[in-house]
Amino acid sequence: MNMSKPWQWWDEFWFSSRSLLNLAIFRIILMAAMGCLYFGRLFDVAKYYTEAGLLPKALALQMFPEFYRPLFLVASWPDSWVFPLHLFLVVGSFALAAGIGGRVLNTVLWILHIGFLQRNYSLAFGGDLIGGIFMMCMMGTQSCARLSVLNLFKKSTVTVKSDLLTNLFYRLIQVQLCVIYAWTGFEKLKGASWWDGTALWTVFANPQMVIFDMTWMRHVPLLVVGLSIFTVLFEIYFPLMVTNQRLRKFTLMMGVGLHMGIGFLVAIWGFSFVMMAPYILFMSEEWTNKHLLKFKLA
Amino acid sequence: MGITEKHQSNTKARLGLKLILSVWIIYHVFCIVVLPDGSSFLGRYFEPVMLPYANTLGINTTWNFYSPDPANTMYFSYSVHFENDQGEELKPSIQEYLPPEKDQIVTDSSKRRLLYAMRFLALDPHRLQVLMAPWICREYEGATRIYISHVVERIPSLDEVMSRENESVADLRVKEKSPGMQYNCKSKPDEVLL
Repeated sequence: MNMSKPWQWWDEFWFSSRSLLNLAIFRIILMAAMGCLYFGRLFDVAKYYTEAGLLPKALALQMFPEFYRPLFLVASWPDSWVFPLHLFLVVGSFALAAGIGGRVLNTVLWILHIGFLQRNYSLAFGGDLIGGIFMMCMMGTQSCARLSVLNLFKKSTVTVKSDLLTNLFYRLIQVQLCVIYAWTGFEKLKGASWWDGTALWTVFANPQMVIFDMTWMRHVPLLVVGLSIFTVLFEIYFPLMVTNQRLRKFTLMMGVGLHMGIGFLVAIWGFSFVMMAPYILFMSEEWTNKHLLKFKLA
Repeated sequence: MGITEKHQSNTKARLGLKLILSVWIIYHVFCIVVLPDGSSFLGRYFEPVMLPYANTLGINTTWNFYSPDPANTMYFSYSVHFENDQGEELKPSIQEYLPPEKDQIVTDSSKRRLLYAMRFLALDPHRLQVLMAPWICREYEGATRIYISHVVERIPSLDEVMSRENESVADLRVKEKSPGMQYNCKSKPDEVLL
C-alpha cells in the first residue's frame, strides 16, 4: 500500500498554512469574551476564591468528582494574591485581545485561568470550560501576528506566514469545536424531553435560566418544539455540515443565530461569544478581507 | 555544509517534528473524543493513560448543556439559629434562601455563578454538609446551628400549561421540599464525606 497519499492528506490537514488574519479575529473575540467573564466575577473573588469564602483551599480538589480531579492544585497562591491575580487576568485578557503579549501572556493567562477554575470548580460556567480549552490551544499559535495594536507602531509591515505549531493548533481548535457540538447533541439524546420536543419549554419557563418572562411561549408550542428539534439537529450535525463547503456558511449563520438567541434569552453572552469565536477559523482569508475587514491594523 | 545538504537536513528535521506532533495529535484527539463519555468502555479502558493528562489541562469534561433534560427551578431554604450551651435562643433565628432571589429572574452574571454553584452542590448531599453548611455558619457570626432544605419547583409540562391556560405557569409549578439537614456550626467539617 502506498503510504504517501494518507500521509499527504494528514500533512495537509494538520500542517498546511493557515490564515493569521482569521486567527487574530478569533483571538479578539475569544479574549474579549473571556475578559468580560472574568470581569463579571472580579468583585466577588473573596467570596468565591478565598478561605473566608465558599470553599476552603484544602477542599478545592475534593470538590471535583474523582474522575475529573486534577493531579495538583495550580492555585497555590495565598489569599492576599487572589484579587491582584484576578485583576491581572482581566487586564491581561483585554491586552491579549488587543494583540499584546503573544504566546507568553497567553500561557500566563491560561495558567491563571486553570488556577481559578480548580480553586472553585462549582462556579464554572460552560463558557469558562470551553474558553479555557480554546486559550490552551491558542497558546501554540501566533495569535498576535495580525490585528495587533502594536502593529500601529511598526514602521514596516512584514508579511508573516503561519508556523508549524500555529497550523496544528488552528486545526485543533476547529476539531475541538466540532467535538463539543457533537457531544452536546449526543448528550441531549439521553433526555426524554428532547425526544419529546418540549425540552426548551423547561428552559423558557424556568426563571433561573432566562432573563425575561418567556412563559408566553406556551401560546406558540410549535415554535418551542421547532427550536428544540433545531438545537439537537444543529449540534449533532454541526461537524458534518461545517466540513461541507456548500453548507459551511449556512451552518455558521445558523450557529450565530442559535448563540445570539441563547445570549439574548439566557444572558450568557460570554458562553455565546466563546462558542462563536472559532467560526471565523472555518472561513478563508479572502472571505474575511472581502466581507469583514478593511482595517489598517492588519 | 552546502545549501542543498542544509535544506535536506531541515526537511528531515521538519518531517521528524511532524511525526512526533502527529503522535501527540492522535493521543490528544482521542482524549477529547472519548472523555466526554468517560464511563464508556473506551473511557474506562484508557482511563490510566488519559486522566492525568486531561485533568491537568482541564480538557476532561462532559458537554451536557441542558441535558439529559433541562433542570427545574431549585434553591436552598435555610434557617440560622443562635443558641447558648443550654439550647436557649440568644436572638431570633433567621430564615433565608440561597440564592436569595429564590425563584426570581437573576440577570447579574456573578450572582448567576452562585446559582450554578448551588446546583452543583445540590447534586450531592455530602457537598451540602461539608461545603455549604460551614460557609453559611461563617456568614452569620455567632450562629450555632443551621437547618437546610433543598427546594425544587417542578416546571409544568407544555401540555399541562396549554390545557390549563387560565392559570399562570408560576401557580402550576409544584414545590417539593427535601426533609432537610441540620448542621452544628461548632463541629469541624468532615472532609472524608466529600
